[in-house]
Amino acid sequence: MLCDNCKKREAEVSVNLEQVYDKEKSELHLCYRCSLDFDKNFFINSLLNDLLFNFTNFHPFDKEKEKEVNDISCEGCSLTLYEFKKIGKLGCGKCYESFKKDINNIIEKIQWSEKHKGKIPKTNAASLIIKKEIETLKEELKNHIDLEQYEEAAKIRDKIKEIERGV
Amino acid sequence: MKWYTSEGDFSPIISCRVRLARNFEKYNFYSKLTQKEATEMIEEISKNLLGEKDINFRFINLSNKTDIESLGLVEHHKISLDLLKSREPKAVISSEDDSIHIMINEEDHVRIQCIAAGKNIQKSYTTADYVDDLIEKNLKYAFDEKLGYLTSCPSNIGTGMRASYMVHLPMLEKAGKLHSVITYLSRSGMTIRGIYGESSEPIGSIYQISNQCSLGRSEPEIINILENLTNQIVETELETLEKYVQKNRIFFEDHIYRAYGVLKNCRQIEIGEARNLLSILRLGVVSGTLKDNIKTSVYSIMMNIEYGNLKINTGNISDKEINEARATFIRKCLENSNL
Repeated sequence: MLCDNCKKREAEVSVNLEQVYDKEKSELHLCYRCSLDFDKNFFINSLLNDLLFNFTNFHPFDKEKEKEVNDISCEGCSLTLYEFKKIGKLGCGKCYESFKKDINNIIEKIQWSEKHKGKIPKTNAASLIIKKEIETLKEELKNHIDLEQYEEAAKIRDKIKEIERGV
Repeated sequence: MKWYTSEGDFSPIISCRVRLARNFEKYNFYSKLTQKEATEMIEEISKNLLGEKDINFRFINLSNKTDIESLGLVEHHKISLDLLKSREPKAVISSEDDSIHIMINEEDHVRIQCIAAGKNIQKSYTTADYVDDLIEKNLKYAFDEKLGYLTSCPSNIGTGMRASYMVHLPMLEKAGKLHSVITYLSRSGMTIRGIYGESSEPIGSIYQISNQCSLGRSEPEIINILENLTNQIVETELETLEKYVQKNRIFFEDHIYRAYGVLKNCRQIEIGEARNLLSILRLGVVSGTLKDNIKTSVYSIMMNIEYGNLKINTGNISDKEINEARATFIRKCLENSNL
């Protein structure tokens, strides 16, 4: 069997995508050389096209669909989805919002999860901590209301208002 | 002292590295960044780093470097092949001891790389984290609460971190066990690649083990998984080596001493042969066969016999003389070994 990536060398390694990403049931057969690149390079350069084509139900020979894909562009940098598909790189931070659906599908395939865990930039830290605190308080508020503990609920509501005023 | 002069030859682990990918909110990413913006960005980053009291940074303008000099930087792991290929303007800011390299205007605006000899990945991360804070002093990073640090390629979002160990695995390679290592690593979101990272061929049985995913786990969690898996791989390499030596001692020693003999006496040598023989020599040191004889870091020799570094260190000799210069350099490195 030939390698799924280079289609030149004999496949020697089988990678079970279900085991790797806990998602789709599929297996890749790679040669030893390509298996060493079984990461960003492999996914972005080789699978990205397939992924994007699949996500947008776009067939390579369907010119109408190709135009439709081309028409989606980022409001921040004007990069089109078609360009992204070709180069595998985004043009600015806003691209993540502009091509949200497609990027989320890629992220699902190539990352551990869809939610960041870890360091937060210093400039964002303060506002994020406050946001998290308000979210926690709102959950507490809902719990107290559900349990008909209105006195405690009122206290938490006031606390939320106080924090929001400070922000 | 440079990291590669004390690479811990007694272990298959050569070095460790932490790389953080960062972009700034106010600029477009590399593919949409103008030349003017890139120049301005390089100036702003330099301002935040140069003059720092705790670390003595040097600014290297890559536009002034010749192709050979730039290649030398790649061979020393100071810059990536991608930066070499990326368009102008581009720069690298390095610490004096060569343990920190900040590449500017590669695939991402900033790539902070911290490298250390042997098993010091925690130290590398602490340094990278510190430099990261220095850079964002007056520049706001592109960051999303859900997706983390935003990068040019979705494969680097989240922590933006690639933590890696550079390991020498000649026995696993020979025994054909690397296939199962690849499968084993990929189950945990880790990967193994050639010496210069993505898309590179393995040279002299040297590989990089690193995290493949960057979103969904925190930096300490990634480092922890990487350390555990690398330790297991290194243990398997050493077990395979021990078993092999026990069964084939004379054959093994003969193999090592022959490589040593050729390297110590050759008058000209091609790069492929030199890499292979130095890999065998390093195996001789790790196995204990040559432990007391080799006084220099074998990896340091391996780096300096590559095309770019050899040309730089010999005053840009012609391609015809390169094999002779390589042999002379190796002999000089090994001349104090007492066999």
